[in-house]
Amino acid sequence: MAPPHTPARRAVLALSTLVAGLGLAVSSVGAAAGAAAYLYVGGGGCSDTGAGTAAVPFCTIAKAAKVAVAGQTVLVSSGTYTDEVFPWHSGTAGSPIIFQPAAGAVVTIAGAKHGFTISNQSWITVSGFTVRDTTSNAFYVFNATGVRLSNNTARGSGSPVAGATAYGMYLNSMTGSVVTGNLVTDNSASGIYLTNGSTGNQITGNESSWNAYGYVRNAVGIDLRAPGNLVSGNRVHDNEDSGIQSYPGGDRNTIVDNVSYHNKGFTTAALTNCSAPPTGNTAGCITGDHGIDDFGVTGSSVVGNTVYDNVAAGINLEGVASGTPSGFTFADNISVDNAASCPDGAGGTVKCPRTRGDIRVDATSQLGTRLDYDLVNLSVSGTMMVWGSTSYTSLAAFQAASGQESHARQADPRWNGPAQADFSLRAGSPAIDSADSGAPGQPALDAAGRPRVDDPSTPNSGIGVRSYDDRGAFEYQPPTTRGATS
Amino acid sequence: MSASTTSTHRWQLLLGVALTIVVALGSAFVLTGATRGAAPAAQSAAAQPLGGDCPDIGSLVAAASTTTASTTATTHGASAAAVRAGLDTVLSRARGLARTTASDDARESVQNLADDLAAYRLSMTRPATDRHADIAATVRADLTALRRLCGH
Repeated sequence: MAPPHTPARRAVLALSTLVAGLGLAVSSVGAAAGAAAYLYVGGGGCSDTGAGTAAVPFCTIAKAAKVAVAGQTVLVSSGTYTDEVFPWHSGTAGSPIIFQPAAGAVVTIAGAKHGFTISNQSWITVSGFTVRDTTSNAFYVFNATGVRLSNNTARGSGSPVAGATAYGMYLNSMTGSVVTGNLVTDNSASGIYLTNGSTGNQITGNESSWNAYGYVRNAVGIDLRAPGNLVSGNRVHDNEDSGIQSYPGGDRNTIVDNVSYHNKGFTTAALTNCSAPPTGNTAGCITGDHGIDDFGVTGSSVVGNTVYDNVAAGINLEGVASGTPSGFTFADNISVDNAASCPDGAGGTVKCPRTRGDIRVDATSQLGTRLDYDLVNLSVSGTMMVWGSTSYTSLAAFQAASGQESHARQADPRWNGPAQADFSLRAGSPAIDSADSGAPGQPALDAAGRPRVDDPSTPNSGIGVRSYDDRGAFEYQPPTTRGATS
Repeated sequence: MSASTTSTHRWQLLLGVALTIVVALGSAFVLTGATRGAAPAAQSAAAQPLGGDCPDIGSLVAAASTTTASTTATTHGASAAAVRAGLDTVLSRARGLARTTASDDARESVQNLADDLAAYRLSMTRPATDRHADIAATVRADLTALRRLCGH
């Protein structure tokens, strides 16, 4: 028979309950509130069995990733690490988990499967790392929100062999995240790939270049298979396929202020979808494709981009279901010398092998497509615009036939140095103070983060809340303005 | 109350306190472990070997290969409709497998196939174009990647 509850026993039980409760409370908040602000990785005296203090840092970033909790910053000392970094916890909106090199440190992750894998964890920031020569994607994100990938380099992932290729950044079911200031180059699949409902993300200010499968012409600078993202201020060039691509799934994206140029090349490798030149090295392949390519998608804005010297139609829309309004707006872009000439592999040039024109809209995609305030030009004679199944060699002929682009201009944009990829505007450019600032997605800042400026020597011919926005990705900064703002 | 009874009660009290502390510490440990335990679950899911998915992947690859191989530049009318219907089935399977697999590797490769099959289906409206040929090549590359993933 159990003894009766005496006052003393009841007191003990009450105390016990209090202690248990306190224990629960402490344990539930201890990880965040009691955690050190910083975890340290790398350097002398490191140990993965320690606590990651400055005195005894962890040896691997992976170990820090295993224990880091919301609000902690992982600081990594200079060096080349070989571990795959896989955060085991999520941060919170107000207290993300941050991975970054220590002040002044240069940190490389090389040879791992991935550099960073953020899978089923959110509110993670990764900033300032170089990830190279991974066997799979340098950065892999799955089912995460609030991720920030900034100022990293993703280089040389995968191998240009069927079944061994890898992306620079593979972003699957990623929402509300930011990918900015990264260099994504020389990977064996597309540079940045968004898929499977990744939405509400900002892909801004990245450079994605020289990405190539090597056996099939397929690597894109930024590949959008998911809807509702902002793609702004990126530089995409010298990719094996298009600079920026929206494919089925990639609807309602805002593609503004990007620079897409010279997605064009020649390879002696035998690509399965090769376009061999008719003369020159006829055994080789002309690589590259559009500057901005939209295939079978609707509702996007392509505004204020600079597109130059790509293999196929500079800005392209095709494959919208017949009878379906595309809902596309093309405005304020500068598109010049696309599909104008291509390398023959023997030092000469040939006609480009695929679609033509600075801007092209195919026959099923005309309905509900609006074009205006663009600036186009060809330095050699050729196809300027394509509308449906008809090609036009001048803007005027296109305007008359299509009723579109009533405020467009055909002229040399007067860039400072296109051969050096300097697409800033010179004084007197016809792009100055002539854009539609009300075009959907037209930003208040240009691709370099500079404000819109009213050039006093150019009459304003634009429309919208600011009648002085410039066409293309870069805002002309008059000398007096430079002085005033510096 | 006898001295022996008092002594027994003291032992019971001490035992109660000890047990309570053990329970409290245990609770704390369990909770802490639970906090971390969620992550290892995710970790192990991401690192999941894909052997269990390989039969489904093999079946999917076979179906996709057959379906896409039946498309040519002269596929029109009823035959095109049949191919599209077949593609819809394969596409649905690919998307389903991409959702259910626990392997990051399988998920990525199957998702890539699903993405490209969607484009391939659309490109069937223009089977004689470069676009269709390009996407067909991409699908073939996806299938090769899936075969290699499962060691085929």
